[in-house]
Amino acid sequence: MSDVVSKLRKPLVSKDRTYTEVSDDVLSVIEKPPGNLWKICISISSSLLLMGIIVIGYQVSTGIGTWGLNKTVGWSWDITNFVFWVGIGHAGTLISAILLLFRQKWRTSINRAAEAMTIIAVLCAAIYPIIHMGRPWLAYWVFPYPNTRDIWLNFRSPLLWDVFAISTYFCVSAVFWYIGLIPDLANMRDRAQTPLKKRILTIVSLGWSGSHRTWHRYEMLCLILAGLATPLVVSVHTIVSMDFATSVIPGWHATIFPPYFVAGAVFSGFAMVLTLLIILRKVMNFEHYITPSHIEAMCKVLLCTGMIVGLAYGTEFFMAWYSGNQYERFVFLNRAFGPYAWAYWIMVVCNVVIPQLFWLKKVRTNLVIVFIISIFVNIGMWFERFVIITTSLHRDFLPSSWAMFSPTWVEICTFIGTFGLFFTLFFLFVRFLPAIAISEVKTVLNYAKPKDHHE
Amino acid sequence: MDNKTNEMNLENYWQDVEDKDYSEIDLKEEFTEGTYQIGLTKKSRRDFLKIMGFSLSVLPMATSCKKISAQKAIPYLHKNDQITPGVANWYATTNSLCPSHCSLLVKTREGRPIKIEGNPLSPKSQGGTCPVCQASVLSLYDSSRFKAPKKNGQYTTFEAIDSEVRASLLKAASDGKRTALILNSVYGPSLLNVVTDFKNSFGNVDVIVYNPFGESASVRANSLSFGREDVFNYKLDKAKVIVGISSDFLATGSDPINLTKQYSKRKDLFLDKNLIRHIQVESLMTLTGSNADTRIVISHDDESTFINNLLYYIQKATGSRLLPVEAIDSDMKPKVQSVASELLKAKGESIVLSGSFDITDQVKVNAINFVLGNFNKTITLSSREFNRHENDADFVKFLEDAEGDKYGNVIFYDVNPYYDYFDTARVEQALKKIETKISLSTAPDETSEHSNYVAPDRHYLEKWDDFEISQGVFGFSQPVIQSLFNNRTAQESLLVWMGSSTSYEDYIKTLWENKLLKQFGQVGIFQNFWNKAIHDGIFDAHLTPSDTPAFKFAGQLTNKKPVTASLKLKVYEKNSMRKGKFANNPWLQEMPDPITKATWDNYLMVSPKLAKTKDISTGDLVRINVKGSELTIPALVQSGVHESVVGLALGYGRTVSGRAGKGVGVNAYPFTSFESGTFQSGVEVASIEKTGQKYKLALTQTHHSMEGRDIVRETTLGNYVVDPSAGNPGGVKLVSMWGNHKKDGHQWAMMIDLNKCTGCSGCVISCNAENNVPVVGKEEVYNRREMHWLRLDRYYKGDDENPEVVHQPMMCVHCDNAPCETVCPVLATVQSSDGLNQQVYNRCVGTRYCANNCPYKVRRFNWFDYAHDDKLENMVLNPDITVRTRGVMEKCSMCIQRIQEGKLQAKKEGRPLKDGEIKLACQQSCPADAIVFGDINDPESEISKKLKDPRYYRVLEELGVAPRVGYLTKVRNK
Repeated sequence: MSDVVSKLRKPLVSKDRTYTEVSDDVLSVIEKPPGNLWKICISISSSLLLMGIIVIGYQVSTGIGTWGLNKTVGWSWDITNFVFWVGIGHAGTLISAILLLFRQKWRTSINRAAEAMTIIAVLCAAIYPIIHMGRPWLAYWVFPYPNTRDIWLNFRSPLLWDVFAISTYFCVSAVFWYIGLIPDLANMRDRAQTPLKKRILTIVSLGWSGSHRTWHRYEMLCLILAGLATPLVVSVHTIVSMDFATSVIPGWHATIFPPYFVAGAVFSGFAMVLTLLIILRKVMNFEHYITPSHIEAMCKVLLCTGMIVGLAYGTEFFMAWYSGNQYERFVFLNRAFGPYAWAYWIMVVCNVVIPQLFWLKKVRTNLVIVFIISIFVNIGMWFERFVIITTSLHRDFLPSSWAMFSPTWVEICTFIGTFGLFFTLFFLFVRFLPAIAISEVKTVLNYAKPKDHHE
Repeated sequence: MDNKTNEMNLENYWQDVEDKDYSEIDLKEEFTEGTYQIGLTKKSRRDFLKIMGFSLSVLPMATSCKKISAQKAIPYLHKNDQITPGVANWYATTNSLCPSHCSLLVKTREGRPIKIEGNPLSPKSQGGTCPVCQASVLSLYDSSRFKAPKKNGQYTTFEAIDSEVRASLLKAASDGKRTALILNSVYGPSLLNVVTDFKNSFGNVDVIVYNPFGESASVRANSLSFGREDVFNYKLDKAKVIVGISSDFLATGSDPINLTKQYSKRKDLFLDKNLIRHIQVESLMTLTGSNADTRIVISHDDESTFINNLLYYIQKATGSRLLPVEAIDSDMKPKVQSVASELLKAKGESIVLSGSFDITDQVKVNAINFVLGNFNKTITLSSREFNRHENDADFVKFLEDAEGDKYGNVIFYDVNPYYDYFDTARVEQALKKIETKISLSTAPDETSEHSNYVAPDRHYLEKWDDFEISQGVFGFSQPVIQSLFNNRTAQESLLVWMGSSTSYEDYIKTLWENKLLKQFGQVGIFQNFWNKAIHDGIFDAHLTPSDTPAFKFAGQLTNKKPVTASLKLKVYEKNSMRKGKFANNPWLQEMPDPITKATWDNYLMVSPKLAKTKDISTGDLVRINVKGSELTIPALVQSGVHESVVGLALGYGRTVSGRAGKGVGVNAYPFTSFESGTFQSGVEVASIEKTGQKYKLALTQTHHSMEGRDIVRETTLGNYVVDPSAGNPGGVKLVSMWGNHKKDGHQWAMMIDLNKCTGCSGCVISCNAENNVPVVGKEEVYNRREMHWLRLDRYYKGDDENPEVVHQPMMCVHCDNAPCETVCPVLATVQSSDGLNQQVYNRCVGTRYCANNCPYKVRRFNWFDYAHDDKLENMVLNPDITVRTRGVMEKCSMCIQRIQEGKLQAKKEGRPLKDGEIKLACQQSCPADAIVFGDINDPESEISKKLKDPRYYRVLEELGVAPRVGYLTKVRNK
């Protein structure tokens, strides 16, 4: 690991820091009692979570009829939110796995939080496939467990592929994240003041000794996990897209969906990472670790994936016209000019038009604007899923069944409730675990670089 | 199991009146009222068990022929040799609820009537049924029906009211006052005889037949034209050209099923390539008009002018001077002349029908048919001997007399003037003077509410009766279940009050044995005759129909001047609600209107042009000013309506009814009038304006264009004759990577002839009854969550002012390569070996992916636990069919239970299954015989043969889903 300090690139950590200072910077925040700001934030988010739990309880005990779905539109907000949350998860894995393999060092200060976001987002997403069922108490029927009834599953169903894809993704992401945490947990263990804290951290840090052999194995394991997680980045959203692509519904039945969905997922994931980190660096005083150049790098990813998504929108329209299929053509014209045109144009503006501002360095380095744009992308990507799911269903083959969908308060509150879950878990994470991978950041400090290359 | 609850229920239903105090409070607890809405009813497992327990313990009692107390109920230890649990018993009967008196077969399971089917022995309905007949079985289990007789609103006993009523009847006789017996049209010999006996026994009885918007105008016209008070028998099957003028003869009127049967025969290209030519002239869009080959839209005021001018041109062309009419100037001249010339080309082979409530119009129509020589060829006067027809003027005269304090008593039987007279305030005021008012209604209505005594009649499935359904053909009613409540056949009540102790059953038997059989020259043992008549439900005396006498107009022709009102409100009848009698039937309330596709409401039908000028769209609340009073009502923009007419359906706005009918829609009767001897529709609308408010109209279809997709394929007769596959470009050549399914044994398929289907929607109700399809209520239909397994898609083509209409029944098409099957993660929907797509309810977890992926959108999801809180109503459930729980998907099963039953029967008898032996619920009830079902592996089956027809196609065939339900193209004769 003998990196050369570039004359052109800015240092990844903007202030000269020693190893101890880094540990102090990251860990002192969580070693102190929580501040008022944190208390306010967690109260709000956990209240939203509680509301979500109550609403889901009401919905499960009463029926899916409490949602706005109907005979024509059998999925709408439920699956929209599912895909939205799964998509958000993608940035974390991409940053931690793919960027690790590509040795993108700038990932070190953001990967921990991004991975945590991944796991939390997948948890939020996992709620929907369960509660959207008519009989959620039978959700375990989708697992292939041996039973005396001699019944088995339908392996042709993309929903079943989803079950495996999502659960694998969650497991690998969670293990990867946890393994990455171990050196930092050991660091915390060593700094722990109370015996109870020490004891717990001793257990969860799995007897980390910091020896060369430990470090070596740790790095190897991270590489292997990164290798395992990399195909998952692609596979999860590919399979999610197959929920639609393998159907016969015009607007869903498209071969472009796997790459289109993966790009969309990375796009939305990075937007959410930006949203979170811009706040985090301010609130947790991580400005030196999550620097404007980090933000800029992520903006470039957004710009690129946003254009891939835009290209996909265009390709869909072209294919609808080129296929000569009247149903296909109708669906796309209906998307752009039908009763849900407003949703379509929100999607296009948020996902394709607004991110074009990232061509300008001024915009990329203005954190306020970046934050606003990241919110727009979040909104746009939610609408993308809504547009795909709802507008394809609401006017399909037989016009006699055409119908409109509008959400009920139950659906809206459930969605807000998942945000409650997301932020509650995220706030707990930043409160109790190091939000920046201390051990990894230490490797990119100027302090860590061979001194003889200095001018 | 909670036995206590069980007994409590049984007490309320079954114990004699003496044992039980029928206080209102008790009954209210038992039959909770509320709006008919599923909402969020909380049903626990315990409730379900309660209901089950109740139903099971009720069965032995329901089947016994004597009232026994609940405590002594015993199971089938001594099995009744006529009842095998699990095997249905069928009984023939006749529907008394509407003037068609269709012959029916009633399916009873373990003593409970659960399904109505048409009786194929009937020469009239020929096995067809309408929605009302299909739904009538649910009315039997209407928990709002009277549980016992009432006196001044309090439950009492028959003994108590009988003496008082008889005293009152005698008192009137001695006081020199009169007694009015007001009833609906009578077509039965026994009822007619009871009425005559009743009249004779008191000597001061006036019999008034009251049936607003019935046959009064045509009966009066026939009396003036032919000297005979009777209605027509039409023979559409012998006609080449029919012209309906504002007549919805396929949906409402006096005999829709018989006429649909005949009509569809003339639309059957397998029978005759010379299709009937149907021209409809109307101002509103009717079901009949939607089936016409040519539809002429005229204003309501022009209807009389059209008839007049048609008569004028026909007389002019034939040189006849039957009626002295002059042509009235109008811009319809070319239209009238073209209709006249078509009719003249089909002399003796045409029919002109009019739905006008104006006597003069009807006389003119008679003249047209007479000049065309149609009488005794395509039209005969039905010489039913045992009838008593309505005369609207009688009731108006009765009101005048009542105001003059002439009456001491009034008995209402099967009439509801407090609801359906146009001026109910006057009825109320006039009848206040009558000391004793007696209602014979089965369930609470506006009239029974105003009556001192209620002697509840039985439902027709609980009683004996007979009807002359056409000349010399009699239909018999028999009870198929022990009366559910302490009620009594209305005729028996009349018999008791006149001092007779004969039961009505004996009365009918005696009448037939002593009088009628001799009259028809029948010899032999009476019991043999009786057994056969009851078994068949039909007795045909095979009388030779008498010729219709020559047209001889015996009145003064009042040539109405054409009225010029810019906008008129016209009332019309729907084939579900009819005139309001069936308002408390949730199946009918939820049946989408065949034209508007609206449920649970009536509304102002507005033409697209008027809607444009007034900026009205469907669902807008509009305020109209009619006859000096204002009415706020939702509007529905309907294509094919004339701009100078707005329509409003009768039968809604009931104020006293069970929970399904109460307060649904508005009462249209106040917007009618009494003129020139009949009740008339068409009052001037002074103003119409938008209120700016919206109303939730529960429509099941909101998009009416096919968007250029070839969902319904059609052609014209001219093209068809040249090329039978005209309009049907044929199937798509599809390449598949997969092998075909194994196709051994039976392979079921269905085919629907779009040229025969009229869109009447009787099949929808039949399917509801057969398959326990839940009623979801208005709010849920508005949310687009109706549960009907079978729906009628209705599309418009062409001009919005006068579009061409197509009806297409759509249900699960049972794809061979079903898209629903591949996407279900838990294999809850699978292909059967005989080619059906099956839904496994108890495996379904409810992901709804199958419904999303269904190109036909025929899958229905149980969004809630649908209300089964009415325990009595639950008795209508078909025990062969699972009642689906919340959260599972359901859809058409191709009546798998019927297929299974047919196969088992053949197997038991050791023979191959015969083609046509299995009839699906929709197919059986179809009055147009549009549905063919059978085994495509049997080369001799009807379906195998018809599949080869060049008109055959399958909807969305190009998707490669290989549906098993196909259609035959529609062929318009234009």
